[in-house]
Amino acid sequence: MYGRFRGRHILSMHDFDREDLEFIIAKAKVAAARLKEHEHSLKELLKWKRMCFVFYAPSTRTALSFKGAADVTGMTFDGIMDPKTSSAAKGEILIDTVRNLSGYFNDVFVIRHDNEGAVRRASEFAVYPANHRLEGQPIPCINCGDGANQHPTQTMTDFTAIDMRFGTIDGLVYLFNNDMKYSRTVHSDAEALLLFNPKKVYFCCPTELAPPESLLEQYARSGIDYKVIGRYEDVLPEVDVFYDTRPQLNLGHISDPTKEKIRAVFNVRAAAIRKHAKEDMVIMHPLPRDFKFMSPELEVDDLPQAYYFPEAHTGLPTRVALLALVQGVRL
Amino acid sequence: MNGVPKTEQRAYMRILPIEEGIVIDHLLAHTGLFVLNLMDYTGLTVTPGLDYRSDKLSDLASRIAGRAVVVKKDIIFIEGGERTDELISEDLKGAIKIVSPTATINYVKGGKIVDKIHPIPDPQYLGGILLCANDNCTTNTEGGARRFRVIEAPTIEDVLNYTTDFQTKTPFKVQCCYCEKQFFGPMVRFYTGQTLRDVLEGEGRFFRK
Repeated sequence: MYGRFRGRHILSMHDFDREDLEFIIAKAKVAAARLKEHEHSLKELLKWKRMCFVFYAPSTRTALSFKGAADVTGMTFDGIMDPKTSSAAKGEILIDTVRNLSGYFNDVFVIRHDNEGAVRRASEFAVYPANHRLEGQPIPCINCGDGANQHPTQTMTDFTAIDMRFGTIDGLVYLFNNDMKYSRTVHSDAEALLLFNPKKVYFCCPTELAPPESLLEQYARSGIDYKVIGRYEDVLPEVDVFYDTRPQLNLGHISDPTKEKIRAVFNVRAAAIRKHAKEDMVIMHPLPRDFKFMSPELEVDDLPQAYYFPEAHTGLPTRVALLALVQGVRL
Repeated sequence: MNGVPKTEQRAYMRILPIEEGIVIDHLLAHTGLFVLNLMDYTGLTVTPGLDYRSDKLSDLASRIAGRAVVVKKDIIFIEGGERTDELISEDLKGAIKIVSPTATINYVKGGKIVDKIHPIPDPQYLGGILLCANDNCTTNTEGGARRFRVIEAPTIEDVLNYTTDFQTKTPFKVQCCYCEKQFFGPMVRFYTGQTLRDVLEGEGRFFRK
């Protein structure tokens, strides 16, 4: 399996099969266990390797968990966190940036960009330069979010977190809540679930933020039991994984009536969770939660079902595993 | 026309024979000039034949419609010379198949057909011939190469069915390989700005009214 990942780009969940995902989850769990033993236990893992981050869109968790993962594995790293401070401000296009940075002996790129498909395009130009012993070989690119399209490392983090809690991805009832239209994590997660055997999948959203037709078509073809619903309370008693999302105001237009409806109907409220949810249900969220909507509400943080902060923390070992795998290093 | 006395030759022939080149035949009427627009024929002799009555396509369409239908076709002759082999790229072949699944590509050498492609295989991918309908796709914001996976290509039956509604039910579905969005019907645009409906129905359909 290691051979499948060496030098591989991590761009979209479409590029992965179940075996790949299970391998990543297994290795993320190994990384988590090793880091729990001792925070410096992986310090030699990727020593002498170099990570370059190119973040043209805001990020907190993804960027810093990648930097943290580089840190605990002994990688050096540098890059662009704000396009205003790079030549992008002078009109440089991403592929030119990547072509240039490829020449600075970087071993992996982690990229976030506002435009869909930008990271896949950039990956076509990320190759070791002529003055490197690996001349011409691809430099792995990891997509950390390309517009409203994909965010595969969030999905891998989410699935690792689910597996850590339930010991499986199969046989569970999933509920995706809120913005199904623009949320790239929902697109990535829901598509990745097609590789597994969930018991049932609910998409709970206002009509304006319905899932893309192409996603629903895939579910219809897969034979997985799924349903698009307009309120979550009724189905809560059967749900194992409640995946809430933020209305993605930065990625698309949402009308004012829909915003009001989100606050009234779709926000995750502690009262509803206490009343209807199973004790061992987990509430997940890719974060951040937007203070304009505040879902899940702060009171939910104190409930046993709140799992979004442990989920975010899983990002570190998952990204350690990914960095090691694309470098062809055994974990 | 070798051997025929000059006085017995017609002043104008319908189509000049070609020595070495390509003949794209059985293109549905109105698609010929569109296909020609996608080609680089600079410096070559090209003869487009438009709106010919096609017995073969008429028979086929009549069988599909269950009544007598007359179908017209376009035909393109290109004297390609040394450039013959490079005239039709895989991308162009795919585009011809999409707008005219009935088409045949004939390669001519020494005045004779030496190779015939029919039916043209369904394209798995199309490149720069299409535009992505997603404004936020990197191919639109930063430019560069385009590539699309063909999910559903129109069949001969689709295009010859008089009742197919190309505005709402175009049997043509693609996915952009970069932004991964899927598009169908009027959202799929060729780089000329036309949709499949525009190409097939823009100046009236290929059926004789």
